[in-house]
Amino acid sequence: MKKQQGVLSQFNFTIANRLIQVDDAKEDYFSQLPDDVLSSILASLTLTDAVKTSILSRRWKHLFAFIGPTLKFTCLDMFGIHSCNHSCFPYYQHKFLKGVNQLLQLYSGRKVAHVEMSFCFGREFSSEFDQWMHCISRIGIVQGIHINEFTLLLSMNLRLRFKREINPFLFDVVDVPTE
Amino acid sequence: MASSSSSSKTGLKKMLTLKSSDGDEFELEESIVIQCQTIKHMVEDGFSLIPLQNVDTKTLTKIIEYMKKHAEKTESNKEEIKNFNKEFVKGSFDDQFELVSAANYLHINGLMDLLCQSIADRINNKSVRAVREIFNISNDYTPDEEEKVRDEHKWAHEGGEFDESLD
Repeated sequence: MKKQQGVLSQFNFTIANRLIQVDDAKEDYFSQLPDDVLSSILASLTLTDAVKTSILSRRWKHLFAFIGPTLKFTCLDMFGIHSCNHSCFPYYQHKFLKGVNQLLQLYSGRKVAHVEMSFCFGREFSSEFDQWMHCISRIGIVQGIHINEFTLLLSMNLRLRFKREINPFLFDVVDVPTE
Repeated sequence: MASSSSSSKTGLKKMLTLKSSDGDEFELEESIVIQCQTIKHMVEDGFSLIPLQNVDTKTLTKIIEYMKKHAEKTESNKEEIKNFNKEFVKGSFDDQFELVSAANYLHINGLMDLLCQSIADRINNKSVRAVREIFNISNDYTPDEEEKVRDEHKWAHEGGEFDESLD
């Protein structure tokens, strides 16, 4: 029964899809490009936009997960927010945490050259932060990792540099400017 | 050895011929053409006539224009090159995708970066619907599948105002 429904919904979908079909005469521009070119294009997108492409069509489903040598998580970039004090909106904080978590898990066991993170909150999310570090320890990072945390409300800039070659769990506080 | 000294010393520039898929031939200095990794390897293997079966005359002309300009790159004309690049990616979509395919085949890294960035600029911050329309991508997910994928990456689709325009 379930299978029949599946067939039926597939059928309905085919009809619906025909109705909304983009210009049939025109070819899908990406169809002539191999996946590695698509990955290069994805690497030039913001992370949110790259992940959003997974929904374009079946071909795009997993492509965003191969976006290249640098994993860059910047809360401002990630959501296209250009205001500096969004740290007061828990909505964006949760969204960022979810996104980073998902991407880090996807990269578990894979190799990247560089991981970079910039975000404006942290203290209140220490358990999530621990989880990130756990995920990061499972990614093969060739060059290094750089984490910027700027808590604007406290006007403090804390930079942590993670030196994997010395000890993957050792952090070096490189500068904590005072006001 | 003295006899094998480089041709530039004698003032003679080594020339190469590129042949497009339409059969047109273009003669160029080696120093310009070796920006292209694929050709560079062929030159190293001793070829001087290089047939490019995947590149038509129209696309090859554009690529030669790019390589010539970039061969002139120095510290002082950065701005000029930047403007050239900006103009270079202004062509139609069909032309741009032809160029990406060719640049990928020929391994011209700078051109690849330029074109990929230009295509990415058309996707950034657009709604999924707009991206599908701009690039004519037909959605082959069933509604159930699509819902599932959207759910998996909910954070990326929520909130934010995505641009619905098609330009």
